[in-house]
Amino acid sequence: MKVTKEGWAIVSILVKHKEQLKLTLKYLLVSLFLILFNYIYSLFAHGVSSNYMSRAYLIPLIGGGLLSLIMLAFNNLTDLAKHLWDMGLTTLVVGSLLHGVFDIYGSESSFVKIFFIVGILLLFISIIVYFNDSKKSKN
Amino acid sequence: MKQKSKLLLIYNIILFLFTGFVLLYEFVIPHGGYVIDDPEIVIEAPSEELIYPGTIPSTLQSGTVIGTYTSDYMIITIYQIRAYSSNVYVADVVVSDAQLILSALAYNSFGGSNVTQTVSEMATDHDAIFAINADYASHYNEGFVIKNGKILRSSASGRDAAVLYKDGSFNSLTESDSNINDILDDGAWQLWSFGPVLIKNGVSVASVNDGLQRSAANNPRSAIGYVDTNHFMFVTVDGRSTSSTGVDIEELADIMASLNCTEAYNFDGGGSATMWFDNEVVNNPSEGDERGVGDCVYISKA
Repeated sequence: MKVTKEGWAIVSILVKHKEQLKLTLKYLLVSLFLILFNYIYSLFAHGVSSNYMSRAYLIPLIGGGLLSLIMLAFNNLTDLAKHLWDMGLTTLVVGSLLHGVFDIYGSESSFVKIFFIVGILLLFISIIVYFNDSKKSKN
Repeated sequence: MKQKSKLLLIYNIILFLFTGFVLLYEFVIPHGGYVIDDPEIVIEAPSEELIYPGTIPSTLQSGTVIGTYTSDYMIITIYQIRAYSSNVYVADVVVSDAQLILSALAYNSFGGSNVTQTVSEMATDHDAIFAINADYASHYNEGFVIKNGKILRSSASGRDAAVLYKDGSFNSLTESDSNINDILDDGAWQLWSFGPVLIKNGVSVASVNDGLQRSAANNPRSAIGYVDTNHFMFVTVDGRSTSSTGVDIEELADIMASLNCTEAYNFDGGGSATMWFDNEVVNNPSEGDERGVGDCVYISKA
């Protein structure tokens, strides 16, 4: 089988950006899982749904998309910044799903806001770490 | 393992454990609440013989009588009818005094979470002849609550409430436009905060487009209806089964209207919908077994 020039170019890009592609794929899979989770949950929810649950997939989709873009554009993300971003997104997703569970059950919980506060806080810390690390590497 | 990956792992474990705790705390572990003593009420013996007012609604005349209880103080007849592809159970209740219609709380406790008992247990504990699940008032953190003439919670919610007065009258009101102390001063005996209102001043006000998704879906339902002074209809509709689909909120209002109710109010439904009469559950709760609930309405043997 003969591989064209364009084919080799794609393969070289894939190899070069292997890590970024892996990351993008991970977030896409998590988003798909959340869509599926919402669908299955809705089958047992007796006609009641929650925006928090049905739109939870947007968190890894947007959050993961941003991270992938930064990695593709600058490729200067440290592990710590990445992990903090991951932790933030995970916390927001769990909080969103919990909010959805309470919405569908018809109740409320004061604990849910903790997930949102901690999640957003972690995202902020991740951004601070990212800029701090970028500054250090420039110096 | 790298230090930073360890951090991620530890965080995820903590997140998992905390999520588990939240779910257990909110859905399983009973906590909080305080004990409310049962009311000591003295009902005067009626001076005249209690007779059924008017004629039995035609909807009930075509139904099956599955139980009756008659005394000097009350006439209770339980019917089974069929409407909207569902089994509907109606308790046609006439009492000599509205204070015979009482509220029971799970383990006599209010304000806690996951403190529940089945309607059967509460009814048996209170030597009842009839009981039906009510508004599950402790399920919410806000909303007026008056049980047996006592204010148990005075924070208004965005819901409409239904009020049964000591004189046997009944109405519904918007909590945010009302003062609970004024309501009590007006003679409120029971106030339920769940809804929505089904019938007000003889007009059906229920809508499947009321913004509550649960209103539009066919579900098991429980409701209270007011026909006239001291004359009430308690209704439970079975649902979520092949033999009984359940009804939406407009259909429930139609059922209440067909029972000559001029006021009607929706109680907690779904798996909670339970009617109990003379030591037996009358309907078929959708989960197979009775679900534990926070409260019920009952009538004691008298």
